[in-house]
Amino acid sequence: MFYVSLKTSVTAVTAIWLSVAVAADAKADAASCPSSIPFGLTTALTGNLALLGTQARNGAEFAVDEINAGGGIAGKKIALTTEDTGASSTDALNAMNRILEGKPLVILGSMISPHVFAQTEVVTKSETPFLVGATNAKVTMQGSKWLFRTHVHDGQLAELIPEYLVKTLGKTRPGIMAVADDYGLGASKGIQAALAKLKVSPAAVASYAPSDKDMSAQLLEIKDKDADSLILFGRPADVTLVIKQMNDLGIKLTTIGNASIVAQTTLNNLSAAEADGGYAIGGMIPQTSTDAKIMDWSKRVQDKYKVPADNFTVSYYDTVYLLKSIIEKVGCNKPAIRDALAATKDWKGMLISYQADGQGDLAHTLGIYRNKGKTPELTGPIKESGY
Amino acid sequence: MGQLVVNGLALGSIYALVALGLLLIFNTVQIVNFAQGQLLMLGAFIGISCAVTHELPVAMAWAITMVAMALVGIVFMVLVYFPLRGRPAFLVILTTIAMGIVLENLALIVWGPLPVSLPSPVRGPPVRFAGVVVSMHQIFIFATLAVILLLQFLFLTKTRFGILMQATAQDLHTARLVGIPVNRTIAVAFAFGAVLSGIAGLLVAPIFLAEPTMGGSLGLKGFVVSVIGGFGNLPGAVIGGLFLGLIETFGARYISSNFRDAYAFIVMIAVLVAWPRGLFGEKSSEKV
Amino acid sequence: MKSWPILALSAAVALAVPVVAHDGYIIQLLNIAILNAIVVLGLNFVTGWAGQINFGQAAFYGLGAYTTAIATKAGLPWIAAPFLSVVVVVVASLMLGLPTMRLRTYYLAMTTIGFGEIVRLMIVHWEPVTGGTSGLRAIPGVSVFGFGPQGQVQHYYLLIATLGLAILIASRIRHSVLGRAMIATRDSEIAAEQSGVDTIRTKLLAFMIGAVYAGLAGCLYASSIRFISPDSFSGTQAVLLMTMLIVGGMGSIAGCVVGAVALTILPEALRFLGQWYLVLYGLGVIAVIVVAPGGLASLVSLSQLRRANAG
Repeated sequence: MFYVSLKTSVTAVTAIWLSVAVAADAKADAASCPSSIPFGLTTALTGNLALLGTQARNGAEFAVDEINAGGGIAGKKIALTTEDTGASSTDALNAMNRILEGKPLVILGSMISPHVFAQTEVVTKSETPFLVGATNAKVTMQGSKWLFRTHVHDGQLAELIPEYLVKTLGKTRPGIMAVADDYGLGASKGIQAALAKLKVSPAAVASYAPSDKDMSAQLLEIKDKDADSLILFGRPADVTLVIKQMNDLGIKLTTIGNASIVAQTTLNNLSAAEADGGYAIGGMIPQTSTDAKIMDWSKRVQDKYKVPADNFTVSYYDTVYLLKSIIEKVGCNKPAIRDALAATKDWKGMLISYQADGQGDLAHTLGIYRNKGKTPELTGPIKESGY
Repeated sequence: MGQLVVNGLALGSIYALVALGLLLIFNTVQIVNFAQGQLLMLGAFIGISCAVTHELPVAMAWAITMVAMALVGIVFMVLVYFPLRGRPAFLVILTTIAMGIVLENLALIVWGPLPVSLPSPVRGPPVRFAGVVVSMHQIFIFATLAVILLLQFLFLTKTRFGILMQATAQDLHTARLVGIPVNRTIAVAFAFGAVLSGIAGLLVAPIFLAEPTMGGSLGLKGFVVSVIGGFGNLPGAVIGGLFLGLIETFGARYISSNFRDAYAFIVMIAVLVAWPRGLFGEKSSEKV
Repeated sequence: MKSWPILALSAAVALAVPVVAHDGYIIQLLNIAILNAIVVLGLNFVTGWAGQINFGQAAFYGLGAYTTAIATKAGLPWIAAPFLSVVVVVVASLMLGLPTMRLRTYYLAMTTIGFGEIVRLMIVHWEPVTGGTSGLRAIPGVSVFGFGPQGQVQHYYLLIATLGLAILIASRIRHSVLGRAMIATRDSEIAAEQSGVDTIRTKLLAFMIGAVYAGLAGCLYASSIRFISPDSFSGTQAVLLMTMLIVGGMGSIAGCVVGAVALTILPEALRFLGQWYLVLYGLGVIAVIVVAPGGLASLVSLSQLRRANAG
C-alpha cells in the first residue's frame, strides 16, 4: 500500500502550487493580455471640431499601426476601435457608451473639453484608464483617479503666457482676444487672473464667435485703447483671419498666443510678412525639430493623413507608446495600468518627458515659438513652475 | 471710427449681395432659399478650384465660376422648385435647409475642412486717408455691388425680358395666361440668384478665406437683411445690408463683441415689431 | 381613429425593451429618443396643428434643462425643478410669442431662429451661472421624497411613463375646442377668424403648450443625463427637431414619436458613414418632403386606406 502522510501531501501540494504561481507570475504580463489588446478612442471625426479632433485619431492610429507592424505589445496586437463623437456632448457620451460595450483595456478621449466632461462619469464607473488631451484646466480637477491628461493644458498656458509677455518681452498693456467657445473663454479668464497677479491689467478684453469672419471691430477696440501687445487665443482658422486683418488695418502689435499662431494650417494661409514675429507658447510641435527621425515622422504622417501633424498628433502618438511601455511591465490589468500611469516619472516621448502629478497631469513642458517669416522657430522649452 | 464705417460697409455689401440673390428668387417664385449661403460657399470653392488648383488667371476663374453658378442655379430649381410647387411654405423652407446641409457636407467631403484663400482680382497697396485704411479689395467690393445694382436695374426695367420677369414676379398665373414664358423667367431668376451669391463668395474668399461651413452664418445674415429691408424690396435689401454691416461692426466695438451675432437678430426683431412689413414695405401682398 | 390593438402592442413593446436589451448604450440612446419625442410632441402643437413654423423649440428645451440644472445644483429640492422650468419657458414663450403673432411664415421662421440664437448666446456668455461652453455637470438626479430612479433602466421606465402622459394630454387637446381651433388656424387663418376663432390666442396657447412640453423634457434631460452643455440645444438641434416632426408625420401624434426615435437612432446606427451620413440625411429629408409630405405616418394611413378599399 502506498502511504503518504498528510503533512507530506500538504507540503508537496503547497510547494507545487507556489512554484506554479511564481512561474505564472513571471509571465503574467504577457499572458494576462488577450491576443488582441482592445484600445478605445473617441474623438470628433465629423462636425465643426473635426479639424482638431482628427489629429487625435491620426496620432493614435499611426502609433498603433507602427507598434503592430513591429509585432505588437509582447507579441499581441493592439485593436484600436475609434468612435466619432460628432460635435455635440450628447453624441460624445453616446460614442463613449459604444466604446465601453467593447470592454476596452484603456480609452483615449479627445482634446475637446466639453466632450470629456460629459464622458468622465461613465468612464470612471467602468474603472478604465482614460487618457485625454482636453485642455480645459478643470478636466483633471474632477476627482476621477482614472483620468489622465497627456497634453499641456490651458491652466499652464494662462500662467506662462502672461509671465513671458510681461517679464521677458516687457509688455504691460496687452489686449486679449479669444474665440468665444469653451477653449478660448476658459483661457481668457485664466490669463486675466494671471495678469492680475502680475499687477498688469489688460487694455481690452474681446472675443469673437467661432464662425465670425470679421474681427476688425475687436482689433480696432484693442488699438484704440492703446494696447502694446496682443494675446490671441483661437483655432488656426480664426487666428489666420485675425492676423490677416491686423495687417490689413496696419495694426502692429507684439502678438503672443497658443499654438494656433505657429500651426501649419495657419501659416499656409498667411504671407511671410503677416506671420513674421508672432510668438506662441503651447504643446510642442514637430515642425521645428531638426532631428531627422522626427522630420521623417512628420512627413510620413502628412503623407498618410493629408494634414500636417500638430502638437496633439504628437501627444496622442506618445500616449500610445507610453501605454505600450506600461503594459509591457504590468500586463493587461486595468488597476495596475492606472497605478503605473499615476507613477509615471520622466518617460521620454518624442519631444518632451512625461511625469505624473497628483491630479493626473503628465505634461509639464511647453515650447516657446516665434515665427520667422512663415517658418516657426523654437525659442526654447519652458516648464511649468515646479518642474 | 471711420475705419469702422469702411469695414462695416464692406461687410454690409456682402450681406446685400446675398440678400439680392435671395430676393431675385423670392420675387419670382415666393421661395425663400435657406441654402443661399451654401451657394455663396460653392461659388468661392469653384473660384478657388480654378484660380488655385488649376492656376488659371483670376479673371478667367471669375468667368467660369459665374457660368458654373448659373448652371447650379438651374439644377437647384429642378431639384427644389418643381417638385415643391404649391406645397406649404415651411416644407419649402425645410427642403432648402436640407439642400444646404447636403451642399455643405458634400463640400466637406470634396474639399476638406481646411480654410483656403483666393487671390483678389485687384492688386495694389491700400488707400489711406484721414487715419482710415481702405484696401483695394474693399474698393472692389463696393464697385462690384454698384455695378450689379446698376445692371440689375437696367435689366429689369429697360429690357424686354426683364419686364417679363417683373410681370412674372407680380402674378405668376396671370403672366402664364398672357403667354409669358414663365418657366424661362423662373429659370433665369434661379440662375441669376445663384450667380449673385457666387459672386459674393468670390468677394468673400480673399478676405475671410473659404471653408465649407462658411455659408451658414452669411446666409442667415442675408435673410435677416431681406427681412429688415422688407421682403421683395431690392433697394431695401441693399440699404438693409449696409445698415446691418454697420450695426454689427459698431456694436461689436462699442457694446460687446460677445453678442455680435445677436445684433442682427435683435435689430430684425425690433424692426418687425415696429414695421411688420419691413422698413420699406414688401412688394407682394398676402394671398387669401 | 386610434386603433387600440396597435396602441396596446406598442405599449407592450416599449415596456419589454429593457428586458430584452440589457445594453446600457441602447437604453441610454432610447432615453434620449424618448425625451426628443416629448419635445417633438410639443413642436407638433405649434407647427403640426397650429401651422406656425418654429425653430425655437430647441431653445425651450435648453431653458428647461438649464433651469433645472441651476436650481437643483443650487440646492433646491428636485420637486421644484419642473415647476421652475415651466415658469421660465412660459415666460420665454410669451416673450417670443406676443410680438410675433402677426408675422407671416418667413418672418416667423427668422424670428424663431433669432430667438434660439439669442438664448444660446446668453447661455454661452453667462458663464458664472450656466457654466458657459463647458456646461454643467454633476447635476442631481430626480428625487421625490428621497426616492429616485437609479440606473438607465429605471430612468427608461420613468421616461416611458412621462411620454405616455404627454401623448394622452396631446390627444385630449387634439379633440378639444382648442385643438380644433388650432387646426382651423393652420388651414386658413382668415377663414378661422371669420368663424369666430381667436387665432391670436390660439397661436399663443399653442406656443406656450409646445414650450411647456419642451421645458419639462429639458428638466428630465438634465436630471437623467446629469450633464448639459449649450451645443445640445443649438440651431442645428432645432432644425433636427423640425425634421423629426416632418419625417414622422406632422400633425400625427404617433408620427412625432416615430420620427423622434428614428432620427435619434439613425445617426448613431449609421456612424460608419462618417461625413456621408449628413449628405444622405439631407437628401432623405428632401425625399420625404417631396414624396410623402405627411411623413411616415401618412404612409401608414395610406396603406390602411388601401387595405380598407381593397377589402
